[in-house]
Amino acid sequence: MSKCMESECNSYVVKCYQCGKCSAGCQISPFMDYLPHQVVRFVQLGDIYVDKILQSKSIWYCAGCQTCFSRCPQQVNLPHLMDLLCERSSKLKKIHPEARKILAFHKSFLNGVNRFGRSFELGLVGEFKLRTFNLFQDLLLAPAMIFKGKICFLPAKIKNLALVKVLFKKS
Amino acid sequence: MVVKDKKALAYFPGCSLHSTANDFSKSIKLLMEILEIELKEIEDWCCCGASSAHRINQHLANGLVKLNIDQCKKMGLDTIFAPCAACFNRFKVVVSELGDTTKIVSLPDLISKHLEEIKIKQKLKLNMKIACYYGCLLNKPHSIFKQDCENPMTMEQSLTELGMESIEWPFKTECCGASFSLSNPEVVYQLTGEILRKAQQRGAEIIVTSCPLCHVNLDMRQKEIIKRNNDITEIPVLYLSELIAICVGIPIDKLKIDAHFIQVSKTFEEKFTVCHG
Repeated sequence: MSKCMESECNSYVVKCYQCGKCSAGCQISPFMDYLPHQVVRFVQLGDIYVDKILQSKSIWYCAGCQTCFSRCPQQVNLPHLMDLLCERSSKLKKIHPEARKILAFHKSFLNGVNRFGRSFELGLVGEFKLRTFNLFQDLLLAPAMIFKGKICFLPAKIKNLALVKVLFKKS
Repeated sequence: MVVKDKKALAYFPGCSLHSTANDFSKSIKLLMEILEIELKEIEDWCCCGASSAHRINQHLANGLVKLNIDQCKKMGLDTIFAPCAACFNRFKVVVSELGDTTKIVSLPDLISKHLEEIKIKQKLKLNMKIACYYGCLLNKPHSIFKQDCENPMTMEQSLTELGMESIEWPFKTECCGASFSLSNPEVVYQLTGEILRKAQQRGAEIIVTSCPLCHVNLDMRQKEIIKRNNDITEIPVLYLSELIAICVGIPIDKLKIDAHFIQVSKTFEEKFTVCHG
């Protein structure tokens, strides 16, 4: 991990004394390969253990609902730690195979924002389907959504797109 | 007469309200008109990045929100109204991190703040048992919101004041699965299924929410959830703004309630009774 990110992650996990309250209240834990408090433990242990976490399903499946953070007796900002680990995992291309579709969603979403300044849902769905080869998912919902006027066929492009593009370039 | 400070609010609709949640947007505009709250849409606003940017790029996530806050300041406004709970949460977090003085308000906050006026204008009340569903992002994390994030009561208190009955239930801040709706619907079927089941077990006849992501999961995904769970039956899901709009006399057919996937019953209008002061 980069030094800056490593120190940020460590500043979060150093306070954790492994009470397990985060895992007890985590609604997504049944979908995870490591429980939230285990993720923290691995980051505490560092090195090869962090690598294990970067390749885990857990970091990508965290919904960021903030429940663990709100309940933590040590105020460990676990959702933000998960965000940092996801960013790292994505940069190092260590994504768990089952989490690829989640990253595909985020990338499709942000591509739209980079292109138009706002999210363009039809483009997002199209790109997501192409990225995941999942062409038929939710196809039956499409006619109803069009009928109900819930789909915009044209993206809304903002005027000051340059400012958004700068942000994307810098990061 | 109640004197309210009628300063205009900077309005950040967010991407959802311009597409899948255009019904939410419609009800907010009509309601704010009646309440004479002036909304000034943030000029040339950009997406705040929720809920993808903060997952894979912290710098970008904060930068996008900052652009909108700067734009709001240029307009000379100090309060941003963000009806989408995901946008609201991102703004709150970034403002707190930057130590910025811009105030961010959510829909339940706004309703609660203008309750006296709503009471004066109220014509109808709904006679159904209502489950108020907050979702995760309106009250959490505790370090920023500094309020009861396990059992928020803002919506219930407003509805009680308006003479309506809401249920007590433990799932009001549980997660619906949010953006997994597209990337992994199985998560949503599981999580939202639990929410629908618990609301019905506690006797709710209707769910009220104020988040477009929750609405997609509770409403659009509901038929699929019912197929998988035979103990769950159809239950309509309204936006808080739709319910309050009907109560202050906006005709139902002016709202876009028929754009919901779960239709309200044909006798829905009869469930409203005239309110006597």
